[in-house]
Amino acid sequence: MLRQIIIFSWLALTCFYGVAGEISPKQAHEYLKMPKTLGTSGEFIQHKYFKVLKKPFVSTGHFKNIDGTFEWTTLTPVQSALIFDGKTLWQQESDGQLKALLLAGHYIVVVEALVTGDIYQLGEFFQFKKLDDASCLRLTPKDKQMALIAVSINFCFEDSQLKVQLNESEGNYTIIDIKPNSTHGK
Amino acid sequence: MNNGRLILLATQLLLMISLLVIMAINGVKFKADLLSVLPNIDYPVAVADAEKQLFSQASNQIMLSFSGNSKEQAYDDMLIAVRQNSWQAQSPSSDSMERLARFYSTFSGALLTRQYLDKIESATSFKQYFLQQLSQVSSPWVTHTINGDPSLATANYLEQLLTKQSALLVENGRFVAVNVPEKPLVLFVQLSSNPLEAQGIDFSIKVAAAVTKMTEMLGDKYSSVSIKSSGMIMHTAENAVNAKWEMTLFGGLSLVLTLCIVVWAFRSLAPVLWISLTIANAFLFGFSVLALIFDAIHFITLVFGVTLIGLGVDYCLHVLANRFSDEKIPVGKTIFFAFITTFLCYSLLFFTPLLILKQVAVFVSAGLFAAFVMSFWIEGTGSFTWINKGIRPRNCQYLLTWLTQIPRLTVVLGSFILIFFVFNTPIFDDSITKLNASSKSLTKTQAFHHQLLDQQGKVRVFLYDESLQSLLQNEEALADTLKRKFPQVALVKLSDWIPSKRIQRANKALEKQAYDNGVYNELLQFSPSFKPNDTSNILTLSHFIEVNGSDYLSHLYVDVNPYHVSVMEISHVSMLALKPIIESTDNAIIFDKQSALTQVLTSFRKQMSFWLLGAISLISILLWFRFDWTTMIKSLFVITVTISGALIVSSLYQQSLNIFNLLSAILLMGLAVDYLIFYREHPKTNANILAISLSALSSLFVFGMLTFSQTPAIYSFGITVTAGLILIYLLAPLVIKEENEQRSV
Repeated sequence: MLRQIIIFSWLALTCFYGVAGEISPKQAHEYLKMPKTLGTSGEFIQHKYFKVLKKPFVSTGHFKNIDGTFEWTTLTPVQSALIFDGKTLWQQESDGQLKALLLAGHYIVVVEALVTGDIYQLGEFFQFKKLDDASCLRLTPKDKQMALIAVSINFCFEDSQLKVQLNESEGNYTIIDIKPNSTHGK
Repeated sequence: MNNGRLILLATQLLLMISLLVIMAINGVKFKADLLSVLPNIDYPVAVADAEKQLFSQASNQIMLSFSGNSKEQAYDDMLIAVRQNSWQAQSPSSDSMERLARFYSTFSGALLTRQYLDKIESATSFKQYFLQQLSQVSSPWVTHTINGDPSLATANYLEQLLTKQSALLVENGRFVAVNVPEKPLVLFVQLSSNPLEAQGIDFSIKVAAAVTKMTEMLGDKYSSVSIKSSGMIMHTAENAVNAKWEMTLFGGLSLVLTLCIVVWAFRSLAPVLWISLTIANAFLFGFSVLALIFDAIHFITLVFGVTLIGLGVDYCLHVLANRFSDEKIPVGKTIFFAFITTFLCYSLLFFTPLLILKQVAVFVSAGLFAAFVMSFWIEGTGSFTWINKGIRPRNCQYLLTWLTQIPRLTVVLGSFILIFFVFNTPIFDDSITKLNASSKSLTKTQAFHHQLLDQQGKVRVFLYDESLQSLLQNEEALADTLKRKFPQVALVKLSDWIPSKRIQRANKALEKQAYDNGVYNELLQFSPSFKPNDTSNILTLSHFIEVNGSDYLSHLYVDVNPYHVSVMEISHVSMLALKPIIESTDNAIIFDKQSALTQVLTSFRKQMSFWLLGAISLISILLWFRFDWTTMIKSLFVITVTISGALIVSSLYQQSLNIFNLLSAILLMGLAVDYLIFYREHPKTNANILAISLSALSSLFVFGMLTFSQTPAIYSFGITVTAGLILIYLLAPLVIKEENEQRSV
């Protein structure tokens, strides 16, 4: 009997803690002390840490969202671009040719929300939890399909800059440092 | 003599009771899908078996689509309802991509796409490719495979494979159709774990009713959401419900109308009893013989079978008209001759390749026999009290005068019809789509769902071989040919998932060669330990199915011992351009059931046309033999004008004719011969004219009803026979001869 009470209490506390740990997009927004809107363009540095590679893979570039078209342009080490026109995701290769990326289309919406700091959009796909670091949140995918791009995401905002860490499968992870071009009113 | 009639009836009744007992013990199965009644197409056994298996799979599934603002909520509610019905929703598995990635990574080097082979032609092109792939902000393919295969070959293979296989994406655990702007959600539902259980009519009707109820309920709850459902089972249910309703309505109405005119004409209820007995005997005997001969009875057969009421009642009407009239002329021989001709005409339908007509032939022929036996016995029996108030109208002389006094007019009308027919011959359209009995909304939904699945305009080619490796190699060779000749071609095939061992070994050799040539130098800077996979690990079909299940391949591969059959889906190439290539490929066949059935129907129609001409000639000879030259020529004129006129009327109503119009011409020939014999054989008595008129009227009730059917096959049949009956009634008196009156029968 005592054992059952202990187990029940433990389960109840765990659930309470679990529920209590989750915060709403509005709370997340306030917690990170983010401005109402971040710039819709900026620059990025991406570090990819794959277990099989002995050193991180670094790429840099810029992004922008103009009239509903989101462009993610990589400048180094090779030039390429991802262009999302709201319906289809296109990959522009160094020779300028566009190739439709059918299956990756809906992941780019998440990427765009991540790099522009659109917490409310992210709330559609992820649950938020506070991390020990006061400027960071842990994002957990609501749907397992979204977990294909990251099992979890560390989303940090500090000194007007975003830092996103995609914790991928099999111990791989990607860190993207984002410097928005401009921020408006806090 | 009367004892002979009684023995004949007793034997037939005994036989019928025995058959009914057998039927009660064995049970009766019913069918309602129109495809099952169409002629078999001459495909190789392996292909026919594979198609049967694929058809069975498809019959066990329905597809639902959800569009509109609250589509996600409606989808989730439907999912709950589906589970409550103990059906299985085929939701995308969240870990399937990870499992596939892990599985394919173990065969690194064996699975290379054409694009990847181009990239490893030189160190520069590979470097460019490698850097670009790793620069991507997020690539599930790279993330999930790079640890097992840093050359990125598996990532590339997986991305290409999944991109071209499906028009559906997965979002939040739901399939999303990306082919249409509103991006509807798609749900597949498997109805039974055993596909054979999902084929009964009752099951289909139950499923369709449940789906409709769920759809309506969710439609009320989410007014902005449009939910559409399709599947073979929906067509079966719709056809079955239609056929049941039509059979009951048409059968009931025509029976009631026939009995009404009988009561009116004979001024007594007694003939109703005789006619009811005749019809009941005909229907039960026809049905019991049908159940004995065929495994399953098609509902459409029974709708066509309603014609038995109109035909079977004729014999009894002739018997009763003569018993109730003053002349009391025996008609036994005449009804026997009439029965034989109609019986022969219907029996011939048994030799057609259409299952439905075989069933109609058995049902009506057996029923006619029973109707004849019963009428024959009624004529002979003297033990019943005849409540005879005399027939009405007492004198049909006016009608007879009118019919016989207009021969010139009928000849002119007939000649005009023949001339019109010759100069304006109706056109036949044998397209199987013209016989589609499903409602427009169901057909439209099916087309919409085909669009969602990107199935429109695709040509399916079946390839078969006893060796799986030979089959895969044949498929790859065909794909190479097609890509060479038509660069724009898009292919979906089994060898996308499981390349042949020959290709896999060749790929391994090419990767090794690239490694030796320093193509992978850029990769080696990041991962110095990288080496091509030296193991002889080759991907096999059985291994794939063991790990990933058979769902991915269920539409592309069928195992029909001893054959392996694969289905290649080809788009962006016309059938015309494709045909010669497929014909020159071993063990390959274009599977286009629609065109094949249309071709079969065209050939069948041509055969039937010749057969009809032969049958008319044969009947003419018989009439000449039985009567004289003049009767033969007049009869030939009547039959030809009747058939021509009926086809003209049908073509004016339907725009184009189909095989069922032609088949009804056979029945018209049988009916016309009956009328001609009655007019030629018997004197111009009141009873004879009344019997012929009543029989024409009852047949008109029956066949006229069919013109209101929803099923193209049935209304085509009804229109032609109705128009023909009117013409026969007007033209048949041409054969009357004055000497009939002195003729001893």
